[in-house]
Amino acid sequence: MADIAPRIVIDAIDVHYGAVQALFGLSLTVGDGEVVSVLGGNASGKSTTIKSVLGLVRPTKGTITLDGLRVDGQRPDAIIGRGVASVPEGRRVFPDMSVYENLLLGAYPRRREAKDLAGDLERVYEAFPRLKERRAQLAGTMSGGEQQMLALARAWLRRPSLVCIDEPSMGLSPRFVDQVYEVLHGWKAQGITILLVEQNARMALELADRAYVLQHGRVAVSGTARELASDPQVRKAYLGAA
Amino acid sequence: MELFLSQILNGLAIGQVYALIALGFSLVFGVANIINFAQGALFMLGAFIAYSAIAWFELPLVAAAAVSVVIVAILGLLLERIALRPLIGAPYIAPFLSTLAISTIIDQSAEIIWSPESQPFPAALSNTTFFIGNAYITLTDLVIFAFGAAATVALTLFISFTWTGRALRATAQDSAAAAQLGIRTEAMRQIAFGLAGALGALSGILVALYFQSVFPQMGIPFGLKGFAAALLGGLASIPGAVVGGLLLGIGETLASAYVGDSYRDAIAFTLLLLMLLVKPNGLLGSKRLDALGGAGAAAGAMPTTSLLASSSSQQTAIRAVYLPAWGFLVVGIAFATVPLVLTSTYVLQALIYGFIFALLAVSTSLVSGSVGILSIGHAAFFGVGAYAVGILARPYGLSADATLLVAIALTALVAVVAAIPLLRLTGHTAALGTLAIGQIGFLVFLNWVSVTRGPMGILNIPHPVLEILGGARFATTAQKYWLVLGFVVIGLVIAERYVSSPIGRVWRAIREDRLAAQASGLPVKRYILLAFAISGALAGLAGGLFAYVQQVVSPESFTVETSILVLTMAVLGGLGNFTGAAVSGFALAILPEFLRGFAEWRMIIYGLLLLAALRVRPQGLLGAR
Repeated sequence: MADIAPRIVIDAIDVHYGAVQALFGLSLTVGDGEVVSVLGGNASGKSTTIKSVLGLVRPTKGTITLDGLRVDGQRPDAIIGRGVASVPEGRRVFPDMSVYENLLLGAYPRRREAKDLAGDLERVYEAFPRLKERRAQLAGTMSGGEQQMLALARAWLRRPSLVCIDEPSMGLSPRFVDQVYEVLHGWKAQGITILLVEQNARMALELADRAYVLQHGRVAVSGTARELASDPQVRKAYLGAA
Repeated sequence: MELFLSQILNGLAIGQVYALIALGFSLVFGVANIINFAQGALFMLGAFIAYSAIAWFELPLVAAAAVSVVIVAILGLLLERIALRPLIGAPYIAPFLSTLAISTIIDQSAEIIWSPESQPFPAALSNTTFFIGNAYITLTDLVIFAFGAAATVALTLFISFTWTGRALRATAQDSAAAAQLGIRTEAMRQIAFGLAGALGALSGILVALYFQSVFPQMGIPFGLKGFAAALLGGLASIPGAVVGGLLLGIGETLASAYVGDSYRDAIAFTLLLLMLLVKPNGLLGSKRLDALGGAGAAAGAMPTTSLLASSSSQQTAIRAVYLPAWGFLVVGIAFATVPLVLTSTYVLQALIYGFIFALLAVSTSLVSGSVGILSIGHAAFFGVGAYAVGILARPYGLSADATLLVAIALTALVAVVAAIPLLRLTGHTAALGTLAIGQIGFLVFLNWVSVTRGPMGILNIPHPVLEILGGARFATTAQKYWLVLGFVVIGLVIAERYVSSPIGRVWRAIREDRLAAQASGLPVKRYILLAFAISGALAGLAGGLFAYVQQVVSPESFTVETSILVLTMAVLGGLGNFTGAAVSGFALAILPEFLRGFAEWRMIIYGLLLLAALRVRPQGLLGAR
């Protein structure tokens, strides 16, 4: 699947934060309809990878292409404008805005499609009855798990063909982690391409087609999710296998 | 009772105008996370452009107002472009200082274009008076209130129900998240500045109609009142800005009716300080202020309270260059030989002012740099010292030992009292608190006629006599040169000793991270008060010497311009670097002597210098310490 017209191609990028280098010649591809997971420990460069794709940080070397066009050095809004949605690390819902307004902002790039929007909003409310219940409530007053659901729903309202997701299970109770992944499995079934950064390797490998394991800003291991799940090293380091 | 009701109606009208200025602050603060000091300058330009459109081009009021609003909105955009965009990633305090510099430049340019005098506003609304029971309100008040209210409602609707409005609020709440939803956050910043310009212009025109006059210096007091209103309501809150504006308007109108019109502004600024003291988050405020180091010190988006830190991770450390304490003594001795070679009173006089401002700049650098509470009010402390000498020297025939001692002690005391409302603040909010202190000081010098003789000032201050030197009298310029040099060197040596001691280290710790300093068990408040006491003592000494040199003390020496000037000196020298402050204070004070023909350009040059320094070398010439 990855061989035909990859959506994202990261080719040998370096990323620096001031004097500190976070990524060292990192390369990665995401094929159409594929779910690719980036795994690794703290400070391994996972988040930096996804931030580079979204234009939040600029690589100092190497290129990133999205659907064959270079996007490195472009602003986030330009990249989002090309059919990408983001579920940021730590959810980042707008705390002083209502759930309804948060959802609407997800559809900001589609703001001229008023008709479709109403229908999509209904679909979101159907899929997340909790959000419908709380649509007038300020997002900041909800629990972490509910906020994560909101962040997912907000991204879905973009009606993206590609979603970048940064640590969706962070700080959530196991019940909510299951719910999050249930949603992601649904997206995969809809054919949405997903780039998923995750510390929870077990959940990520269940969802992903392929995965990359980063270590100190470099790809340490990569392969299909099945291969990695059975790789003794990965099992030992990230899956806590006995 | 009728009077009371009429005053309230009247206060609602002017309060609505304050609300508009406050909204300008709130919008920009929300979206760009900075306090736009130039809001007052935009406000003033709004009034003057409308004035010119009517007086020069004979446009009707409504057309003139529309032209002015559009032009100032564009200027707002330019302000963001020129003064702020290049500073993204610069130290946190740079944008604030940048708007301060721009506002100085605009204010002074306005004085050149329109003359510094107050001019009657050429359009008036009819003076028809309406009665509600026995209370009355004029048509002007009604129109102002209606326009202000309409603008507020329109803005609220725009912010609440349009895509751009939502995107603006989203950017204000979490800029990085907004960008990830496809919102062009730079564009939102620009829109916020454009709107702030439009609101500023509109409020400027309404104020011109209300007071029937325009003057180039109107920007700072009204800007500060708008900020007071914004803070009163909670800085990032839009309904808060309106409530704050109305309360401030009513409060000061009542004050001017029952206490006296000259106290109108002083009461508004006192209200601001009280608010900072009691409820720094405002009536309807959220925790947003904390992000700027507002109430809770290091919290929120800004992980440090340091003025020098920045969000950019690409900081290079600049080594600070500074003299040890004895170095000041050596330089002082070298300077002491100058009158032996040079006899020109003109040159000596210029050098004397250079010394005084070197001391004043160090005093400012101490609180602004070492402790990190940016002071835009140091002229008030300088003035207290000068007035202490001015008042005591002649009628009581006291010697200079006594008067200077009183000047030092009194100013230290005033500075400590003034610091109390600032204790819980850092960053931009603290800076505006000091600005209010400076304005209150100026208004007291100007209006407390029985003690300060008001605008006339105190004349004929006698030559200083030092009892400690056996009654030596310092009458000639050379003698005064040595007197001033001697005291300034003592002051500088003491200041440098403090800042190089463990006390100085605690000050810098407080500046860098107040929370961490507290967590390390340091008595933060006590150290801040100590810093203000020493800074006040130094400023008081500078003021006292200034009074003896000038032989005249009058309020215009202690305006906000002076405060901005000494802050510029401190920043240019490198915040917290006393050698740098002394050098740049000395240099900038004697600079105008070389620019005699360009006296009115002086503040513009200082503004440009500050702007350039922020771009090129935000750490100051000799490096911040």
